[in-house]
Amino acid sequence: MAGEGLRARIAVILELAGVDACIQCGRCTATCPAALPSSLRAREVVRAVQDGDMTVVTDRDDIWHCTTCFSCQERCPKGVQVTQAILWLRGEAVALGRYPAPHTAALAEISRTGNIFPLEAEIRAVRGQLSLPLDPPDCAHDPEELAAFHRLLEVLAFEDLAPERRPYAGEDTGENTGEDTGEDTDEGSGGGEGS
Amino acid sequence: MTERFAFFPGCISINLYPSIDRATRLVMAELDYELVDMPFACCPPPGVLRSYDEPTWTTLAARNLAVAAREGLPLLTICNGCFGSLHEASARLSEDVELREEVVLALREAGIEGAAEVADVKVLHILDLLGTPEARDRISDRVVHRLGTPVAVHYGCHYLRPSTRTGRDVEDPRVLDDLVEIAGFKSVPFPQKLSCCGAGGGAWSGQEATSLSILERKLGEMSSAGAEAVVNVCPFCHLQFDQGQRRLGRGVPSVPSVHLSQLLGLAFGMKDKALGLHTHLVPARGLAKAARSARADDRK
Ligand code: SF4
Ligand code: SF4
Repeated sequence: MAGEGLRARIAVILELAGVDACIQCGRCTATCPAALPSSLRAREVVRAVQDGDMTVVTDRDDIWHCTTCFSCQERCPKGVQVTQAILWLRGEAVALGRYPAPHTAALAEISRTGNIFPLEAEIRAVRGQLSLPLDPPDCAHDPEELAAFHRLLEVLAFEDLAPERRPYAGEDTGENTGEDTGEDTDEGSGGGEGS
Repeated sequence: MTERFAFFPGCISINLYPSIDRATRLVMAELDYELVDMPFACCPPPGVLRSYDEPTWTTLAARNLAVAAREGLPLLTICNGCFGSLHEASARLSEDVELREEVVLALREAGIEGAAEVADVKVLHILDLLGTPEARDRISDRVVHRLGTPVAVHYGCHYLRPSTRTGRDVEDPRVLDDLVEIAGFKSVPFPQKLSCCGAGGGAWSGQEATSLSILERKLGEMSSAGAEAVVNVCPFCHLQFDQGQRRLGRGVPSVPSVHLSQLLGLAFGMKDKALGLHTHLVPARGLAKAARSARADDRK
């Protein structure tokens, strides 16, 4: 189970991100654009890391409301790398299958074309209207480069980056949650809804 | 001699907003900078992928650096997200020998050319280039129409922060305001100017309500300050401003978005249609109209 391994890794995050210097002043939350519209409280996330409270990774989706704007990290009087800590905590959450549903499609796009946003026919036509080559001169349109890119994904075991998603408790997703409603949903497969 | 750059347009400008791709090419040619196309892939995303696994994120960024290294050119981005990924990766590869060795090994195993030089590539944001005294002179030489339109400038997070990495003035940056004014527009002051557009970190797709709420507040500040458009230096911020206004729906103040390259194109006398302003969801009609009447006056 997640237990001790996770506890140890959170302790590593604490050390690497300088979290033990935190004085709980709350300046990070005060500057956070996501604090107003969401449940994310940067100070509380930092506190959870200090306390080794694993629910911040295992049960709560607060960390996924962060826009990684780095304002908190910039403003912290104690030099705590708040944003970096949140990014690392997300990595731990991902390993447990805790991540937002649309990200699955985003990763699939990267492994298909190399780009998180693929080129759709409609935009391809706009490229033409603007006197750009219909196909951009990128990796996706260079067969040899794309083959090498795919080899690199294999070397990195990209397909195994995240286990199957486990929705958060009480999450209103409209997608399959284990308690199957029997209804078919196709959420997360919308092309172009990446990043 | 014409300076050359490995041009990294980023997947949003090539695949969602070709108007920005096109405008950048037109404007950079006008300024006598040569953009070299190379087979780049996604930066990759500093929000989603960096959250998943930093070594994977760094290695995919390093592949792009290896591609640029083949021509020995500095890599030029026009997107804060791309800059955030590539600049951070480049810095880590330079300072962490162990990481670099692992990354180079993975690239070699996949047969990626240029792997050995990944740490040698300079990563520039378009403001790093256009903010230089020389580029500013070139720009002011090319301006033919001073439209005077009031605009809100949006620096965006990953151009500025973290300052420990970017080394930039994150309290009172002026570079974008200056360029906008050199080009004959008016940069209006507004509260929370350096705050986030709400799109980053995977929030755009993963937490729509949070993301749009941050945007709505920002649009309100810009609109109250009298801005007729918002000028960005990042296609992802642009995507948020342009699509986000649509997603928010009616009742939200309209502040059409343009990328810096499009704004410069207008000042250089280029047609708004050539710059693709009409292809945005919320087209900057006011700017287009001002530019058209300036062009019409020229012909009189
Ligand atoms: S700003 Fe820094 S010191 Fe203050 S609560 Fe946040 S992390 Fe702790
Ligand atoms: S980086 Fe995340 S937690 Fe920090 S201020 Fe920005 S949105 Fe809030």
